Amino acid sequence: MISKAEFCNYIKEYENVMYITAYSILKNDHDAADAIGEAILKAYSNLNNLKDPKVFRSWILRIVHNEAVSLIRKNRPVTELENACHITDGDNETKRTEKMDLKEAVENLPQPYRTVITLYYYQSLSMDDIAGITGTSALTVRKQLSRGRKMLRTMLKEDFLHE
Amino acid sequence: MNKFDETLKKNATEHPIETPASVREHIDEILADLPETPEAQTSNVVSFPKKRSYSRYLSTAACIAFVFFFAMPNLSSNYALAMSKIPILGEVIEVLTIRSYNYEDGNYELDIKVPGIDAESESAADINANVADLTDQVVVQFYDDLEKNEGKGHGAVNIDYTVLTNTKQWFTLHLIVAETAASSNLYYRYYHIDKESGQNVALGDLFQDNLYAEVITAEIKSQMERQMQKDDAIEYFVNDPDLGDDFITIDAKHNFYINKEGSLVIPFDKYEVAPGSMGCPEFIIPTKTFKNLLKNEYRDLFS
Repeated sequence: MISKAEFCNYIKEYENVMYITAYSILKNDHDAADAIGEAILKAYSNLNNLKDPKVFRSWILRIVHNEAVSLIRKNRPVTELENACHITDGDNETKRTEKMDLKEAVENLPQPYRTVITLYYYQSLSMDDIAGITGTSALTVRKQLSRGRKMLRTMLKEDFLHE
Repeated sequence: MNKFDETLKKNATEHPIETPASVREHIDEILADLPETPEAQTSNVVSFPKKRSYSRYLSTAACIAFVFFFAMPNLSSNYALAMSKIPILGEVIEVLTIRSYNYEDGNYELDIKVPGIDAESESAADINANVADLTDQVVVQFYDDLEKNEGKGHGAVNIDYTVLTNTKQWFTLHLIVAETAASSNLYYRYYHIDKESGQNVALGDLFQDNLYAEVITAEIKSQMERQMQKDDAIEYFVNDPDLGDDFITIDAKHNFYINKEGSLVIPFDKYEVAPGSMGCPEFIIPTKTFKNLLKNEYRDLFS
């Protein structure tokens, strides 16, 4: 079994993808932080269930995903925070508008498309990895990606189609 | 779509979503407060799936199936001929394992049997092509993962099949796909032939118009709600706006089969509409709810 120090190192390594996973479901930082916190505690207390440290990322992301889904059911409606977008400031106004549009469009996607699109584009996770996290098959993820892209295409056509 | 896809990837790469400082600090606080050793386990915690749980389950079946459907047919042509013909009511559709994929290195396991319908019809050829596409994708993905992980980690993929129905009017091939990697997935595919018309039949083909989707979806949601009311241990992702309105939906291509009692059964993949603990849920749709929506030629299929 991995040590506390190793566990903490893994968490820090995957902190960003954990946040992105939780945020894609909960859409606010406070709830995302809560879900991640719960997931860390549950993962640590069940560390002996992790037989192979090589799959730590999939394991922790699955727990984060489940915690976030559980939280969203307990705490409806989810509060939308003003600073929901955390995008690095750009020096080009055009790019800033473009990225805000994409981020906003992604946030407006219904589930499960929001989580799948976020993990695929912002974390470059494979369809298999996403399937493992969200608990579906790779074929289902492929279909969800396809439908999510179509929705994004409709939302963003003014900004993207004529590039 | 490719250009759009590239644009999305480029945009997402150039402008990543960063973890807010408040969340990072919260994580740091949680980590700092962890005890040196994990505390006793609590219940209701996600357990990481045991590796190759499905492969264990399927290994026995795979051995038996190997003997009956692969080894024996290849050892004896007479046996192959006898086993492959499934005559019912004078109608014969032959199903053979036309190809097998096997790999085993202690960490990764691949055991795939590709069925082929031996009939000279367009519908059989379509099903064979569809099955081949699916199995090819699975095999390619398996070897991609193997290469990507350089043989480290674990994974198992099993594909098996059964002939579910073979009556005078109807034929159904049932494909079972079990994938085990970071988690376990199990899903089924059903392929149907209307022997009288010689056509492949999808769910939507049974009905006169699209009203069936609404009717059957409503029936499934109603059954889910009733089951959840009766038993707290049962959970479906029904009426959950945060998970999207179309979490529980069916369409013209949705899996279905007709059971021995002549009832329409709508199965879902594992995790598709419920937590993994619910397995692959199935719903028997009362015939009276949709019979008047059926095309005339399919009314006799259902009791």
